[in-house]
Amino acid sequence: MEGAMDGTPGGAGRADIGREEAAASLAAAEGAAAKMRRKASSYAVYCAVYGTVIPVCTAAIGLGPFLLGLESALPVVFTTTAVMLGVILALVIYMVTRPVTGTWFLRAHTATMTAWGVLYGVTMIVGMTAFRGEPAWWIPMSIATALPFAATIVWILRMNRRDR
Amino acid sequence: MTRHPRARLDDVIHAPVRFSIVAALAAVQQADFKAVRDAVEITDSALSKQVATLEKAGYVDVGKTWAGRRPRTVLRLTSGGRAAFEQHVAALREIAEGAVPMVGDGTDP
Repeated sequence: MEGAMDGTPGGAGRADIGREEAAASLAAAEGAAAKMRRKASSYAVYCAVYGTVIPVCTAAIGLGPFLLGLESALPVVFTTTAVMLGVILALVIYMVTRPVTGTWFLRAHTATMTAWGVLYGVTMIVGMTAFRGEPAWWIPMSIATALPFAATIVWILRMNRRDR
Repeated sequence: MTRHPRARLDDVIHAPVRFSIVAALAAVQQADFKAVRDAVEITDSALSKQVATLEKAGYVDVGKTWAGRRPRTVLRLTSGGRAAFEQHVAALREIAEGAVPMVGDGTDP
């Protein structure tokens, strides 16, 4: 009998369902759904790593050559770019191997990366043309590039809290 | 009476384990076989059987990918499966809330 494996009581069909059974089914289903939603929150790890490493690299590109007294910025740019690409590659591998993808993932990722891209672009273009080696520009703007990731982490944690 | 929400319950999803599987998949875009198994708390063989039934009904897509060298089975609810699930949940909520009189059951309003 199929009921042995799917939990359908012997002889009971949907015609017999009552209020308590309907409520119990909904509660069990919500429990399974909540577990899955929590598993989808691994994107917060992606945001935490990206939102920490990349802003530090951004500040390093802007301030490093001057702090180190280098005549050329190229060694610092190449080194930090290599670190950034390595971290991004590791994070992409991390995300594609996660067991669960949330229904919200594509929208959240697009919004987060778009906001970061705009802030990063402004930081780099304005900083490299007008504020080379100027901490008053590079430090606050590097922190600003981390804000989209922080906002997404807070949003994911709030979703998880609602599920508890 | 066909207006009772009971008539809108989906025969395929109605079985408790299948309902939990579909509910788990409805909460996400896609999930590994093992993640669903752990969330629903059933064995691999039981999940395989229920997924086969859901796939046959057109409610679940089953895909095979690779995670490094390991094969990975990915489950995803189809749009038809999601619609059926939402209708089923709406009917269950109506029954649970007692919004519609139960035919032949004098204890319900």
